[in-house]
Amino acid sequence: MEPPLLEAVALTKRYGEVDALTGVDLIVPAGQVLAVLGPNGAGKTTLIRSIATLTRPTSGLLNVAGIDVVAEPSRVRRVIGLAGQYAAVEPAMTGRENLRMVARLSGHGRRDARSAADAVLEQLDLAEVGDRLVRNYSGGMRRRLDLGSSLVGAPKVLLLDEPTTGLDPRSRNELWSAIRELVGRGTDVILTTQYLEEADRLADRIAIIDGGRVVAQGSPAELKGLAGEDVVEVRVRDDADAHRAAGVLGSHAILEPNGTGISLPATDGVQDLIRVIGVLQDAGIALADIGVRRPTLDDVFLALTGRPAATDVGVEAAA
Amino acid sequence: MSTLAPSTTATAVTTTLEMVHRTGRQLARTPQVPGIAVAQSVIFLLMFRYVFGGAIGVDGVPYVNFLVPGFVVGGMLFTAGGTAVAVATDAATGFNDRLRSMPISGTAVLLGRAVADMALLLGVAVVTAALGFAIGFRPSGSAGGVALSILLLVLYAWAIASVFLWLGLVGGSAQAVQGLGILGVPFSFLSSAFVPVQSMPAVLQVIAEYQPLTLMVDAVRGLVLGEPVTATTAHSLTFSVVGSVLWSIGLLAVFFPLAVRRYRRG
Repeated sequence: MEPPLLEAVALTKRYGEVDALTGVDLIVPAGQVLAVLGPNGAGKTTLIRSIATLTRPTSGLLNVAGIDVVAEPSRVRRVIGLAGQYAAVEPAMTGRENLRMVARLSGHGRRDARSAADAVLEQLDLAEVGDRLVRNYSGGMRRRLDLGSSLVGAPKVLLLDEPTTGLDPRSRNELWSAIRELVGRGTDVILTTQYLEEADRLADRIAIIDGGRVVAQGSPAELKGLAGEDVVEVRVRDDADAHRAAGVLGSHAILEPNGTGISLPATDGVQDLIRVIGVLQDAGIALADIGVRRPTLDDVFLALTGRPAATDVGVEAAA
Repeated sequence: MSTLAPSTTATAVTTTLEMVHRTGRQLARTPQVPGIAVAQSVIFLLMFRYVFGGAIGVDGVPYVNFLVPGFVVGGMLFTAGGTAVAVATDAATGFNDRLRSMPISGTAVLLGRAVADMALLLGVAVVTAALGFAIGFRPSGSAGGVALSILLLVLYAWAIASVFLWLGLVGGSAQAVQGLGILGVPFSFLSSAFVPVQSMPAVLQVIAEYQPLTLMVDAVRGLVLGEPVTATTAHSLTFSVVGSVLWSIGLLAVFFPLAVRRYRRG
């Protein structure tokens, strides 16, 4: 059987007086995309830097693809590719030159380096700008090239540290599709993010970390389950009807403080929605809006960390 | 994947050559960096030659002959500040993180950087020497002496590139190390680069006579000018040559490994 993608047991990291990781326990099987989700300062970057052999853990066990990160860092370096928070590419070189350099450093011969660079440019939709100096690239193009640099060595495990932080929504969407395509080709990915949508869209498994530990983990659906059940949300057209509507809908209906919205738990999803519409129609109450709201990772995040997650207006609106 | 994983890892030679190539492109495509280094050298050389030169007397040699070798050696120290800035930038932008997460030798990475920077330092030295020639510098030493002085300069360039490599890595950010070129000021003024050490107060003389820059300047000056100038230095030419070699090897032996250690630690 293939060793787990990631295995962390009681992993800690201390920087002087600061405990960045306070005991991470996490086992993720191979063949998955793991998102490490958490607010700023939660320990995400320390965790991924430890996996990337850039930071030595203080104590505990950390294996990636079955290799002990502390005992055999050079073996780990052969199976990983890292794209960090910054676009770590050389601005005074072209995209193609950057990729060839990294390909050569990954161990490719001259010819293979050339074809690997060409293939990655094609794959990330950068072929047209491949011969332009990177200093003339947009932020989104740089990030894609950075992602590409982590790919030319064809790593088994791709490590992405906040891959889309600071990108505009369009560039973010482009990068997301690039990552999804890689995943489709069978690359395992460990990514950190503070964006819930990012975790939701890309990951099979999410580990929420806060205060240097894993506070919850599971599939996106399992985690949403932690935040409770679906809710039917109703808005009446005439505010005067709101009280009456809450009355006819029964004791579970809750009138929202602004007086126009009513919500009630939906144990049966859409069936409950249809029932609510029927009841209100029979009572002669006109509706402005109605829908089933599923709990979001936001709700989970808030419930677990006591803080709302980073908001992401552009993508939220697009989704 | 469309590309296959490489079956081997990059050799140290490949790694070093890739880093030399990268730094070379960086310098060639950001001509401001070498350009400013050269301009700085030119301006100061002309000022010393024509502004201060008349007021500084050196027994037995025209001042321009005394000045140019001192200037070539001292000027390299100013140019090396750029190394620290570039290296600090690599550390701050995640470039070093990428390299450190790859199966390549850290020694080979920094060696590549050092070799490229040595080439820059020597390039600026050549331009400075050529300008010196244009304003009246005439070497009178033997061809063998000139050749040996070039070898000394190569070793010295490597040593100071290593020092600034380390400074760049410990400095943290480009802004923090930006001013490091200023380190060249006390070292070059408190040496025989621009004035004979004998003209300084006794206490300063003791420091100046044994610091690496003076020994290197005296060695190069003695080798390219021959007899007349060695009479003005505190030590014999042999002493200066051996001393400058020892200093360079010592700096290299201390700072290059320190830089590698610092790079690995991240």
